[in-house]
Amino acid sequence: MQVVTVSTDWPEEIAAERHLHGLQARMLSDPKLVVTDAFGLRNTAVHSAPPGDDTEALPVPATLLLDKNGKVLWMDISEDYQRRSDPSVVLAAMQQHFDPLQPGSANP
Amino acid sequence: MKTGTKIGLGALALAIGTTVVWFRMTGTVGLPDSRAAFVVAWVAAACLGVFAYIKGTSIVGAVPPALGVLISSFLLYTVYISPQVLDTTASIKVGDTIPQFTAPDGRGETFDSSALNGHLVLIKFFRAHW
Repeated sequence: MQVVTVSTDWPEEIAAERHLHGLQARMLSDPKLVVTDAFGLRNTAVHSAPPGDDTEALPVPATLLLDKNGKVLWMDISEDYQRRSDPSVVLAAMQQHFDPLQPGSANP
Repeated sequence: MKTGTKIGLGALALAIGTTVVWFRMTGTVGLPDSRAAFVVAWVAAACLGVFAYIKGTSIVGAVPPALGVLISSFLLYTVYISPQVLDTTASIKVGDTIPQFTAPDGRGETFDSSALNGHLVLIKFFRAHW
């Protein structure tokens, strides 16, 4: 399974901060929201940003599960940026959608 | 100690205490669906801060209520602006195939989404590191 993250952080910020996450994920930089807009996930409401940050907008926090052909099997969009995708919800969705697709799965 | 100074210290303690609990719960993705209790506590802290001035504080005692009002107001503002607005006619949906894209990663390499073909994938969009 591949794990990819997309945020408005610049590549240098990702390089400086990625140890905090302890993730083996490909962490992509999308400060101009090009990828975010391709997915249609721009948050058009007022947004907060740290002082001096010139990010014009932010993505809506979202988690997507894709099959091997890039089709969206499941997604969770936060209605509120202070509420993120609950890890237990994501895990349950992965078990439901991914396990049947994995060879040798205990849950065919 | 003047009454207003004591009330001001109470306002600051309430503001800081509520904020510490807030960030602990945020850090573990544990915020409850209803944030009403936090909102009530911050509004109360801000009101107490103002009440402290009405009662009268010493010069040094004027600092804690000001901080209490400032902290509470800022956190209330973040709650106020937190709802997301998404153009759902444009957003990707279950059953759609993702668009092809390229983007730089944290190592300065360009990532091409075609590398995901043939893999089960979890994509996470988040705002930024802060």
